[in-house]
Amino acid sequence: MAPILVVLFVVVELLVTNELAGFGRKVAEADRSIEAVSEENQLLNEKIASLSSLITIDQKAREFGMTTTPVVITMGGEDVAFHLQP
Amino acid sequence: MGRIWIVFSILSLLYALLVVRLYYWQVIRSSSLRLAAASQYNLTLPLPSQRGSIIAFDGKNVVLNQSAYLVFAESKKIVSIASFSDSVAPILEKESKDLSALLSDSSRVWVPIGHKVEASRVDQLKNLKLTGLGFEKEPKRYYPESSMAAHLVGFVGSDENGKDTGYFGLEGFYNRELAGKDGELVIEKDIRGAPILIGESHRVEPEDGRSLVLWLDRTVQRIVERRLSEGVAKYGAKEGSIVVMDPKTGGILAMASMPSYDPANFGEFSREFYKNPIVASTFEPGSIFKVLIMAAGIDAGLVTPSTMADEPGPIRVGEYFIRTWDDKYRGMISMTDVLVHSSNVGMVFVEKKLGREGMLKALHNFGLGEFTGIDLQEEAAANLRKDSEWGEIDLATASFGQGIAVTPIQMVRAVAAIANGGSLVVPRVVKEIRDMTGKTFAMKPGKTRTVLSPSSARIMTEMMIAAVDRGEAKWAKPKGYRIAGKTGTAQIPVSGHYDATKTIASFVGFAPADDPRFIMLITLREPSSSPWGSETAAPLFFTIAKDLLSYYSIAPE
Repeated sequence: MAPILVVLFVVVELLVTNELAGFGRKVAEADRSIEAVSEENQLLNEKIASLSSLITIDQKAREFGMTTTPVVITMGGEDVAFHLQP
Repeated sequence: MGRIWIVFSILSLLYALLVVRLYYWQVIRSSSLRLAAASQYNLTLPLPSQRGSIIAFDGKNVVLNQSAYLVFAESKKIVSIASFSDSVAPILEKESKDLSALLSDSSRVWVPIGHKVEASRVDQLKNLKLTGLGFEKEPKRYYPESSMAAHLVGFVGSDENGKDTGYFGLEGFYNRELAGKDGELVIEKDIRGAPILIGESHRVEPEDGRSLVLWLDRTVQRIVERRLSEGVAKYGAKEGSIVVMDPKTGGILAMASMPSYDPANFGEFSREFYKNPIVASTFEPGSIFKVLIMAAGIDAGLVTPSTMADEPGPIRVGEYFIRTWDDKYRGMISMTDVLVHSSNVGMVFVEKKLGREGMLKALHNFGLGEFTGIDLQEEAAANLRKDSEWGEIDLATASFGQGIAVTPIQMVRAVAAIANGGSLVVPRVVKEIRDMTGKTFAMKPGKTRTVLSPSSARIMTEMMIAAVDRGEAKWAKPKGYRIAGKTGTAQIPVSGHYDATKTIASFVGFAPADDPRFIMLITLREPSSSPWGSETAAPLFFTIAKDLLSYYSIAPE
């Protein structure tokens, strides 16, 4: 009886250890995935920040032929012809 | 019997010694022994925290973290040091022979060969598939707007232990919030130092740093930096600085100084560039200071805009004569005209009305000689001399801004009290602090005290509008807007006397005057095209004001 019990316990121990090791592997894989996604997120954040920077927008605008704001001339009320008709 | 007592005494003594020794090891040395034992059977791996970002008012990052790595070599595992160096050196922008010499040092088994190397270069290195080449995460700061607002944000360098630490500006002031708290993983190790998988482990998660959301508006900052750069070149100034603030909240909308530096490559610049002159340098303000003394006179009920002062010629104070800037004297002039013509003689009249007590009260009231409380690391407060040390001539010259030193941030805060109806605010760069969960902590605008009544502030605003509309710089003012301001030209003290050829030209003003959206102070050191503020700082002010009024969609009246 005793040897059977010992063998049984050994088998159970093996199964539990195997399960535990497998679970550990899954956790490690999940950790690796989290790290990979975080890293990708960081790279994307960098890209977004770089593409939405005013320097980049300014460059793109120039490439598209836009120019800087011309001199704005404001007129006082007395300079404006409000009523063209009598 | 005697021998028994001797043996008993010796045994007792030995027993006592044993107790003392046990107490020493188990109580006094217990913690150090526990640590020594733990280091023998535990392996501690640091889990570094991520530094928080710095975010502009519009939600866009001004500073964030970039994936980067520490590149290291394990010399013993390298097959051929020469070919290893030839392959790696060009990617790390190093000399192959230097790298080869470093790796040939037999006393070193683990050699760091590149710090904070970008992910793109690390990918190139990984593709080489070299034995003995390793990588470890070592994030670095990334500045998408390049060197924008360098003085404001500061930079991240290493402390004496090689740990990332913020220096100057926001990085320095908010270092604890930004840095977060490193975690650690403690696991049991075997005799060879390898971790035991089924051993006990203890993990303390790192707490990432908090992010700072600023009052800073990227567009305003860019306008200011571009115009300052143009202005410094156009007027041939040695240095220049501009601060733009919301006068109601004290929120800093933009802050720029030249010369500046690149926080990503701070090591390539002299240390003298690191300090932000707007908070850390003092200057004699000159005529822009007149608005504060005039405001104090009005608030005390001693003068009104129409009070007349006699300006017959140079006025004698003790053994000195005080002249007007153009050496022209207009006889009887009103207080408004004292500001319009920037009359030093007229200001001495106001100073005499205020008296010694009134002058000193005004200086203290406007926060001169004290820290403004701005959230930047290197703020300095120019000390005022002791009340008992102010002589007659000192008070007279202080009334027109000479013989007194202020920082630009002190000056802009004091004038903001006129713009906002009388409150001395605490300038703030950070609007809110955001933690990793997205929870935000608002940094409420701070008000130090009331220094003017609302009616005095209104009267003073009208006088400053007149100073713009009828003053020396009226030609540069955009039409249709009510802008309050004052020019300043201060001589620079050199070795105990004033150098007539060297000036600091300045302009302080706010717009729209009736409901100010911004207050701005411009200072240009030693402009060479003209020494006068009205011909340098003032036109620069109005150029930027036009840009800002257009940006804020404020139409002319």
